[in-house]
Amino acid sequence: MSDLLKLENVGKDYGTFSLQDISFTLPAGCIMGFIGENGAGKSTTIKLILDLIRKDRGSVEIFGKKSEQLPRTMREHIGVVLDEANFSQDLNYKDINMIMKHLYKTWDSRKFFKMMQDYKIPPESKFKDYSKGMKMKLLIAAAVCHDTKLLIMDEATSGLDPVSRDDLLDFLMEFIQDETKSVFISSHILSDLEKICDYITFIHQGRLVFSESKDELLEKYGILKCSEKELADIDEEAVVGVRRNAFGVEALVQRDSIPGGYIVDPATLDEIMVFYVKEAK
Amino acid sequence: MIGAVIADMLSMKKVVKLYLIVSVIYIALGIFNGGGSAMVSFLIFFAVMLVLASFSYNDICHWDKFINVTPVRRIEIVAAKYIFALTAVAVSTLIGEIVLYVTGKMSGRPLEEDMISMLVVSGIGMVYLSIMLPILFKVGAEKGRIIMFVVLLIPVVGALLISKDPEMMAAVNQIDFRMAAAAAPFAVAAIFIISFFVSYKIYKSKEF
Repeated sequence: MSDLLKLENVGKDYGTFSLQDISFTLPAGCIMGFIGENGAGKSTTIKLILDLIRKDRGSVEIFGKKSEQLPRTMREHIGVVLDEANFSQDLNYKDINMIMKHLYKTWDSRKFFKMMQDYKIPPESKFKDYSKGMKMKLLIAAAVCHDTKLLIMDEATSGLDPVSRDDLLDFLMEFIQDETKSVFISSHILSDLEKICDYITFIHQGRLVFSESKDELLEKYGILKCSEKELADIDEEAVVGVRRNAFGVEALVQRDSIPGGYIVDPATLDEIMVFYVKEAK
Repeated sequence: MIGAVIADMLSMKKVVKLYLIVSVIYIALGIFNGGGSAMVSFLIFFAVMLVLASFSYNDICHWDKFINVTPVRRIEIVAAKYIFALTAVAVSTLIGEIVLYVTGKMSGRPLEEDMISMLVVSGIGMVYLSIMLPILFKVGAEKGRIIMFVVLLIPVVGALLISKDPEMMAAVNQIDFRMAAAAAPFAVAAIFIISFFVSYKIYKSKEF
């Protein structure tokens, strides 16, 4: 089994919004960043993967099995960090350990307590007294202290300071050292994803824009700064989006379609996303 | 399932402590006022409120979203809530009966009537929870709170209407209360079990 997660033409209809033809594959040993503007359908897609909502079309496969046929025991291998804290505010981490060890057969209390000590989370403090960073660290510990192979994180880095985010990224890189594990992470902080992801999947208004290797993506696209006349000379197919300002135009372009003589700067994931969302032709 | 039951109990520990303190005060007041089942019947009210509060706590921390990604099956999640409800009412009944027994022995009051009254109140509490639990699974704690008061009012209004109608009162007086008392535990159990399956049917198809 080499693909831990596979979506094929997944769709879900709500009254004013629909998710259409979402397809991507996450191989083992990789980190996939899942990006899109607010309301693009990221959380809906994650809920469909986790079977929290029912899909109207398509298929989701986890560990090679259709998600609706996945035995509940295989959920031992799925760790989830959602965008909201799911534990009662009056619990301390010993209480959370007590709960988790009865929810997961493979729960490792020793590993959990060690992570709490490493993160310097006070044992008697209640969840409501934790800082945002401490809450996130606890939720991550809760997600990985059972036999987790697939870690799914929905906006887990939002609200974290740069130091906490850096700790999280280090943790994720260490997590996939075991090449049987994968991470699927949605985040608005694209610079973080650029550092650690192997693949990037981008959705916009419920539709898949691309799902590609990050390195190939960053190699494929670039920012061209030129005049309107120069832009007019370029193949339209090579131009994804254009931003006009007082000094000329900036265009997101496919590098290998741009003739020689033009200077194309590297594009960041932020720029790729903004051009697709705001400046697309 | 055990994890879900433990999660409910641990989440409610602060509320339980508060209820215990209030219960001790009520019991002390009741003893000074001459005792009787009325002084401990509110324990069942607290048990019912505790179960309803657990839904509020679950809603506030989006617990359903989390527990449904774990290996716990939906039928176990529903069963955990029913076990929590049964435990809350059973513990309250036990405490109430112990208090009634001790105060009854101390005061020399006949025990049978008080202790049976306590069981009747427990039965009413179980029936009330059997009605409310599927509603709470369906609409959540916030909307459920409003429905809760309506459900409380229905038997009160019904009893008032019956008491004003001579024909209905005559029909009530025909009831063999000994047989009704003997059948009551089985009826309460049956209602509780039916309620469980209704709740499961609702929860099985819920989206989070």
